Amino acid sequence: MTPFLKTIRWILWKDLVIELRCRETIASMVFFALIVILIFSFSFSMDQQAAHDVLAGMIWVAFAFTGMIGLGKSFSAELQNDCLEALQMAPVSRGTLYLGKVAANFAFMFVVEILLFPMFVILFNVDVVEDLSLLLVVFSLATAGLAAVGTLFAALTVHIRAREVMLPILLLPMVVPVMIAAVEATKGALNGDPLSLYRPWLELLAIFDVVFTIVSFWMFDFVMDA
Amino acid sequence: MNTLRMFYIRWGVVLAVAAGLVVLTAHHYRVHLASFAPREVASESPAGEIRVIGMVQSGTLTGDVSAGDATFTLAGQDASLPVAYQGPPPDNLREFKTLVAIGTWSASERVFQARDIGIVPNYGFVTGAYLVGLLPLALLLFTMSRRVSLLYEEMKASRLYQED
Amino acid sequence: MTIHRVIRHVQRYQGWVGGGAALCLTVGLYLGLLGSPPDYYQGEVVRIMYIHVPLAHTALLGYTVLAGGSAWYLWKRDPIIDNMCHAVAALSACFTALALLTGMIWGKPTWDTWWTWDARLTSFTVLLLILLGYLMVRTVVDDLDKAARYGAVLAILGFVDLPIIHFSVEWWRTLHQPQSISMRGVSIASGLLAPLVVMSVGMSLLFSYMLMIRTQLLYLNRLLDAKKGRLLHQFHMSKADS
Repeated sequence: MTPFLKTIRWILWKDLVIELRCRETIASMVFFALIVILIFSFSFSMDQQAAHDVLAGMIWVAFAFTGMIGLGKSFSAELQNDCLEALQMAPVSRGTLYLGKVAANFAFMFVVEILLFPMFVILFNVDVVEDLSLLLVVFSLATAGLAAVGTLFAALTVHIRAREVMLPILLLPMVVPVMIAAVEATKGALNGDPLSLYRPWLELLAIFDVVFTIVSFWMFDFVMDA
Repeated sequence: MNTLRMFYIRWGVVLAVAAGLVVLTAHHYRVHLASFAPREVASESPAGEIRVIGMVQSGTLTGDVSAGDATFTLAGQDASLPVAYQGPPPDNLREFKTLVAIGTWSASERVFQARDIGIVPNYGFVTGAYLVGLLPLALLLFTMSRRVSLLYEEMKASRLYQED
Repeated sequence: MTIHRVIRHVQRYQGWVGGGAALCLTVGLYLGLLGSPPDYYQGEVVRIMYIHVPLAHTALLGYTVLAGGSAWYLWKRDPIIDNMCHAVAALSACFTALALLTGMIWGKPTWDTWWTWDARLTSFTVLLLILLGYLMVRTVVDDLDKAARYGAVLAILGFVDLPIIHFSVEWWRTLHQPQSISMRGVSIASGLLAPLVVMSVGMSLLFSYMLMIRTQLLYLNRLLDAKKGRLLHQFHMSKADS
């Protein structure tokens, strides 16, 4: 394994170990998402058909906002004991730092999504989904897009006053394509539509992921410059 | 050279040109004719040339529109008005279309003799769009340039910068 | 203290640009309001196009300049380029907001609604949000160097995002509302083209002129702040000596 990949793996391992020991990020994300689901069910008193129509939208609203919590924590947690400065001083390239953090954020968000999706299915009485593997592809592609841009913006806002407010303000307009494509593709997968109908959305997500991972990887240098 | 005085002279010229354009436009679009609703025409029988605004009622349009000869009924709020049009072939004469007809009311025949037909001009929207588009830009530019002139004055006063 | 050479160039040429803008806008307004015929379908309302389309074009042009300037700043790290980027962003946001407002005013008589989730309106709204986010970062970050770097990164990311946003939104609209109310397909008659071109050129020149003024404003503010800081520093040093 090249040193590049090894460094990424170590950063990912570090974040995962911290998370396993305190379970702070994932727990707060799951609780927040549960509250969001609860509020959704209060605000729209729905029958099954109505729930079916707006389910994809609700899923992604909940995922995006919980993702915001995880992304914000990924760098603000490093502020304690000056861990962020230690990371900046570490003799590794900034790009590996970015990719490691993206991997960690992706892992947290994806785990939360896997935990939450059954809740949506149960609480809104949706018929059992036809094609789970395709849904997982949609989730992972969209989450990768959110994590790629979100990690960069989390690093950018970590030193800013009112970072909790600034992160969503900056991130949400940027990920409009991800949200649109994710909602449309999720709708297609939930309805059991043929893949050819929503395949373009998956391609769009893939393009977004590749483009923004490369651009953010390159920009991360400028953000972390001390 | 007094920077601030030059600044006010420049803006005076801009204001004068703008005012000239406004006057010119207002003069160009001034409507000499009085406007009437179909209900008022029948009851008041105004003399001379007037404008009537209404919608072409469905099923009333007869005659040869492409030759510029047509009769139809213009519907207003709660009255309608028979119109006979003669003139150049109109572009916008269709059923359900809201139109302005210009012509004279002949009280004896109870028909409106139209010589020109046009779509309802929405001058309000046009004026609004131009004001909304240009006024904030002008205000922004004015405050910015004024501030820059003041800053140059301040710098000159503090001998921070000499003009070359 | 000498003034930056870019600012000296700006001082020399701004009069010409401003004069050109004034001339083009006067001619364009004359042509648009008085010299051009009303449209076959839209009537007088078509005149809104002469102000709306140039505003929108110029906003997009400004965003391109912002992205280019940001890349340049990250490369050269010249503060004057950062002042320029900051100025462009504020002006671009202003032009975008005005383009949206005039578009809404145009939409009311033509489509009979103030707002519709049309592809262009939606992507312009997202563009405005990105620009406002950029400006917020600039005001929230106190460290000048950090504000400049963060702003540049945001601007470049947004510029890369812009075509993807437009593409996805357009696609989404055509899925939900085929043959939506769109200006596409309405060919522009030649009589309407002249005022449109003149107004577009005029607006671009006006944007450049405002950019020159605003860059000077930000630069001079920074210069005076630096001067005041130095005076304060000297004051404290003399206090410490005595």
